[in-house]
Amino acid sequence: MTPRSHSFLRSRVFFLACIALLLAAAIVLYLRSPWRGLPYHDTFASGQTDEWTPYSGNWSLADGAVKNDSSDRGAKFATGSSYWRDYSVEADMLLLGGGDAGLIVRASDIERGVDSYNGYYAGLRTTDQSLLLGRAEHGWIEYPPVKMPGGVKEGTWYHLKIGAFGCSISVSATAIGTNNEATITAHDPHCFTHGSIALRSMVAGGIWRNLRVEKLSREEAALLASAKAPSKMALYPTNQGSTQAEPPPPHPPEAPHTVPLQSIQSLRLFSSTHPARARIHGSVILTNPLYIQDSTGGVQVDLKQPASLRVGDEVEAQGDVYPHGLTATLRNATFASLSGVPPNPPLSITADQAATGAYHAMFVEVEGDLYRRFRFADGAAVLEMSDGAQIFRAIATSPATTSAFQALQPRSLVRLRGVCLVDATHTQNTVPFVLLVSSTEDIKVLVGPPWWSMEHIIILAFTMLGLGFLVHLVYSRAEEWRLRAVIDERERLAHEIHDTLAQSFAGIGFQLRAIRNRISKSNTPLQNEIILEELNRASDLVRHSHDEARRSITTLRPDATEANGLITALEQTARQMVGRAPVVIEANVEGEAQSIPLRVLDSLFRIGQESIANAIQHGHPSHLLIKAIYAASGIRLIIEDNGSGFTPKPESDGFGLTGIRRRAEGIDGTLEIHTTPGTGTRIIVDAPIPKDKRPFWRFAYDDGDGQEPRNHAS
Amino acid sequence: MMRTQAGYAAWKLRQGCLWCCAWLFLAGIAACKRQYTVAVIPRTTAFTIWEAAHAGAQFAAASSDIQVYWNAPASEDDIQEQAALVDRVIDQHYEGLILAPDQPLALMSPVERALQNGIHTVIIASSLLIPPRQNLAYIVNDDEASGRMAAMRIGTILNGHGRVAVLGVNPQSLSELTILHAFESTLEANFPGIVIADRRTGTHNITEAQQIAEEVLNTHRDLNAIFTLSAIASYGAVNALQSEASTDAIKLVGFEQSVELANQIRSGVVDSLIGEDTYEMGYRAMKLLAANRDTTLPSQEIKLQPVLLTRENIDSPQVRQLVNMDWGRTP
Repeated sequence: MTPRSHSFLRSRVFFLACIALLLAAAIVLYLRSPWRGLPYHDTFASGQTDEWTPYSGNWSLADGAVKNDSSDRGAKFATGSSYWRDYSVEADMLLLGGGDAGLIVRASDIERGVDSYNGYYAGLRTTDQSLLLGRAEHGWIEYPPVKMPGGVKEGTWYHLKIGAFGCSISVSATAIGTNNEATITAHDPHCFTHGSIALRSMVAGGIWRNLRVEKLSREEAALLASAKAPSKMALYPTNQGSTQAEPPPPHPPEAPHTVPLQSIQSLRLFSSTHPARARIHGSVILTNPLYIQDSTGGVQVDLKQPASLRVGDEVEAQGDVYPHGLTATLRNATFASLSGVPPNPPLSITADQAATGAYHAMFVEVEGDLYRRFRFADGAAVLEMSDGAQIFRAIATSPATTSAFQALQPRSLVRLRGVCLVDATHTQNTVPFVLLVSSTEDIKVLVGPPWWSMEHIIILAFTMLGLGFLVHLVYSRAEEWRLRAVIDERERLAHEIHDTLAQSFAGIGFQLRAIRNRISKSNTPLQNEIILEELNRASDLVRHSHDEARRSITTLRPDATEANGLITALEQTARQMVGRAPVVIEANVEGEAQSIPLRVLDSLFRIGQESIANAIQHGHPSHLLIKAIYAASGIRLIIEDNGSGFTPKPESDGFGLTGIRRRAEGIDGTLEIHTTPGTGTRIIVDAPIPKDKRPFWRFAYDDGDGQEPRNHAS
Repeated sequence: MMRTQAGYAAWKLRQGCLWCCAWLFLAGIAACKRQYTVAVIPRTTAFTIWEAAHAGAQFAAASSDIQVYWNAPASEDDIQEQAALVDRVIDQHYEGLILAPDQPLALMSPVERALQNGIHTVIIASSLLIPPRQNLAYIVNDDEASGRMAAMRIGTILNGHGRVAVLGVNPQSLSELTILHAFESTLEANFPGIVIADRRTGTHNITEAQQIAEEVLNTHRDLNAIFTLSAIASYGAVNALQSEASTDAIKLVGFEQSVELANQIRSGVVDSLIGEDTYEMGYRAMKLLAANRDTTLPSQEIKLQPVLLTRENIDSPQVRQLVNMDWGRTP
């Protein structure tokens, strides 16, 4: 490859690298842009919640809204870019029970937990019938709440809007269909400047719809900017994080003391002929259908009238008991809410235990290997799993869990939480039990599938084939390059022999023929002197040829050499060429000696030889300078004479100068010819010396371009 | 001529050797061919009630040249062990399986696997939730009849009036819940004067069963009868009645027979037992497998009628068969 093509390749690679760098910078800037994804609007009508991440709670989609029917404390549902800065978020919202619910802006570092996030939360609270705004930094500090005109009622729709500009936060709440509105504007000097959004409920649970996130309009931004440092906006800590919502007034149970309280497990023992009235006490583990669990078991409850209950609500229900097989149902039931409590933690059981039926209608946690995925005719996603001797199924009850199910890979070890059911309606008498999984948080992959799946083995096989092909390709190219190098070297040797030995032999032959002709002419007397001179000349040619041959052999050896030898050889050459002519030959070396690759050394010798020959034959100088100068990165050879000089013209370049130029290019060197008629000629060749190779390269094959640390005598 | 005779003798010798080798080879193959083996896995090997099933299965197997593998968990609540035994049957490639499942749900998956491996399976005593199908047959106790029989016995001995407690109900046993519901509905229909004063769930421990029975006796001082739904509950009730000296005042009717409870009938502590005909279950199951050993097992469900064991018939040949512990003896 020529230096020119090297240079072109380098510039092209540099250009491509610049383009790639610019592209990467543009992508990073886009991803970190505070406006990426804005405006954002979610009507929750698509049935997908892939963009959302739940942090506890029981989040599900229904009728174009997202619902958390859990009484979890601090349940959150987050989405958006963490680089959003100045924006507003608004949504319609309904509280399912006592407590509070609302929106979070500029959220970051979100974790499960009551106040386990950084950001600003604004919501409506039933306990003090107020609109609240506060700052959470894995702790909670609240601004003074504002009473909501008309109060905060469960089951009523409110429109909530929060704006954040700079360090000013504003929130407004409106009871939809009324003029009741409350507003809080606050300034936080050490504010969170950016973050995503989230829905949040505190015990209350809630429903959100028509959520919209937008850049603030100029007017809104100006309004917020004017709210800097208002006098009454001192922060003060509250116990929002630990306050238990005031429970709503309990519904008085139907004749509470006439019906004895029963354990849920005992309902199975009730008479199947005449439904008996029973009262149970437990907490809600699923709202649709309604399942209530106590310490002995769980039961499905069919309410006489629909009611808004949340997962975790502690209730007392009474109704008619209908035992059926291993299960029982409480029908025509009424209930009384006792309090909202955190949802029951799941009972961690094995599939064998779940298969006994003892955990029917209870919230359990079971592990198993995912065997396969499929869908029922109604579209519900189903996982078929196995654990030990048992095969069981998990059914997704929400679009979010359906999506999560689809993402699971067969043969993974999965831990699922859900309501365990053994009735034939769900099991279809094909598996001992099923789990109803309602939240993506209830799905956890413990161990992924083993890598030696058929798919992976095929990919691996193709990869190995590709790698093999690549190695073969590289090897072939390397072999091709090696052959090319051998051919080039042979060509160089042919030129070398042609330029030196062949011409010397021709000269010797010429001398010998001349002597033979002189002797064969017997009619003329032998002129001993002339013959002696011709024999001497032939002898000189033989010695010269021998020197040439020895030098050529030397260059073929991988031994190191140096410039002293070069200058000495050039000086000897010059002295031979000059003969008895009165020419002063000066030869010297400057700089610290370095090892020079043989190929460079040989080229310099040829250049010097040709330059000296030109100087003596055409310049007729009286002084000839042969000089080598070592520099840090190369060697400079100078052949200077005080001869007649010449006028350099490209078209007049003889074979000699062309050859000199070609040899200089062959070692990546530069050639300078300084001459004018009458002022002599100065030829300068600068040849780079390749730098030291790395230590481990010393063991590699050396093609002669690199230097060798060894310095053997030839 | 001499050489010809010698050659003929050598040829005969070689032929004889070849025949011997061929016979030995065939005999070896015949020896390697495994005997038709049926695994009989009752609910537990702890109670004598299952020895009758063993006896029935063994008797039927003996006449059909079938090898019997007999094993079961040491406790009725060791469902994992029973499932592991079914998996062992699959691994050993036995041809048939007779199983009295401990639990109707938990044994579904192992039995499904057995069926997928082509094992002819007969479920005895109580049903699984898998409907009968090819290679799966049921020979079970008629639980509703058991409940009715118990109700009729208690109604009769109480003359239609009194208070009764039901002990030892396993809420995870479909069979026992069926007996309970049949018992209640029969009492309601035929003896409305009898009230069920209490229902208690069961246990697999006799001491705990005794504690439960004593608690019921203390709570309901006016109790006239007890109906127990398992042998363990019967043992607990017997101990409680004896410690309270109420064996005469309170009649005990139990479900599931055993040698010990049979002796209590003889001594008058236990009024009667509703016996499952486990001998017949084992016998018929083995006969069914033997009859279909070379074909597929037809789908069928047979409900065997329970037997009432009283002081009057406890030593009759039919009843002695149900409490037989010597399964090696031809009945």
